[in-house]
Amino acid sequence: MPNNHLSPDLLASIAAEDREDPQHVAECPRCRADLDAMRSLVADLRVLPDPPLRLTEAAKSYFRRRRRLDDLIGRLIENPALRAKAAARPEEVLREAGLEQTPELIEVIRDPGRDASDVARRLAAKSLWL
Amino acid sequence: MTSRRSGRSQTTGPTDAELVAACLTGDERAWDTLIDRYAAYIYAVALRAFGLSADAAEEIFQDVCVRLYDGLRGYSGRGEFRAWLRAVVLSACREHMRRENRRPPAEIEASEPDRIEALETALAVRSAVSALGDPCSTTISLHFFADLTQAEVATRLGVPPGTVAARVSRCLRRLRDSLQEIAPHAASRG
Repeated sequence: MPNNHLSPDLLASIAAEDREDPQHVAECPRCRADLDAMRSLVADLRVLPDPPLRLTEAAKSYFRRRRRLDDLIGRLIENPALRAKAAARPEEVLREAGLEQTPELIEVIRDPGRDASDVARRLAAKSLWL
Repeated sequence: MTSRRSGRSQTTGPTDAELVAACLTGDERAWDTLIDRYAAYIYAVALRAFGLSADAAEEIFQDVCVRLYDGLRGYSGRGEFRAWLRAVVLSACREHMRRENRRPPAEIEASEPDRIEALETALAVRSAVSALGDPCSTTISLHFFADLTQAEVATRLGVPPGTVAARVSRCLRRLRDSLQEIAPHAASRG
């Protein structure tokens, strides 16, 4: 008797709101299975809550900072004049590159090494994480 | 437990490999999309699969993102991105535990593979939610992922509470149907 089955919307609503099983479900294998499947889906939806927003924002911002730093290191390696400027006025070079003038970054750009990956090894990359 | 394999449920948008390739050209939005796609998974592995504190989970999240950036060039499309990311996350968690000189509680250690699989199933469901489009995607996300009540979702979206309740029901049905199309066996598990 299909007309006696609970509607899919009702089953979804029961699962979403964690309501108790209606009496009908105990007597109807089809509705039992449908409700179980819906409850399982709702449980899956609750397994992975959003992490704190500031974490995802920091992760996004990190990419931009690292790109800026990698780009700056590349230019420092290629350009002796910029390297000399970084040794003399590191804060200014960092500011022009859009980077914070932290002690770690100042130390890095004063002596950029051979390449950006070398810098990544020497720099605690997390110092770019705000 | 039965799994909705995560790779099969990525139904819309750029693939992970395309995002990685774009990241390597400096595409910030590609990185943002990767973070949006996997942030909850990374965080939850530490928090739920390893039973770590919220502070530790944040530290691991940060560590994984740094490793992700540094490892993208090395990864460069070899194998499935999710498998690679899983290895990075598990490694970060285990190193954290070693640094802290501790082991996970026995019951957590024993069930770690099941917990990881459950999280990956949930990740597949999240991907399917994104693919529903609005208003379903936003409504489901606010209610289940951001853990807002239906009344709070209604306020946030500026619609009557009854509309949210109806949307949640309708969108859950659509979600179940879409998962049945992607992985019929898994979607019908009880």
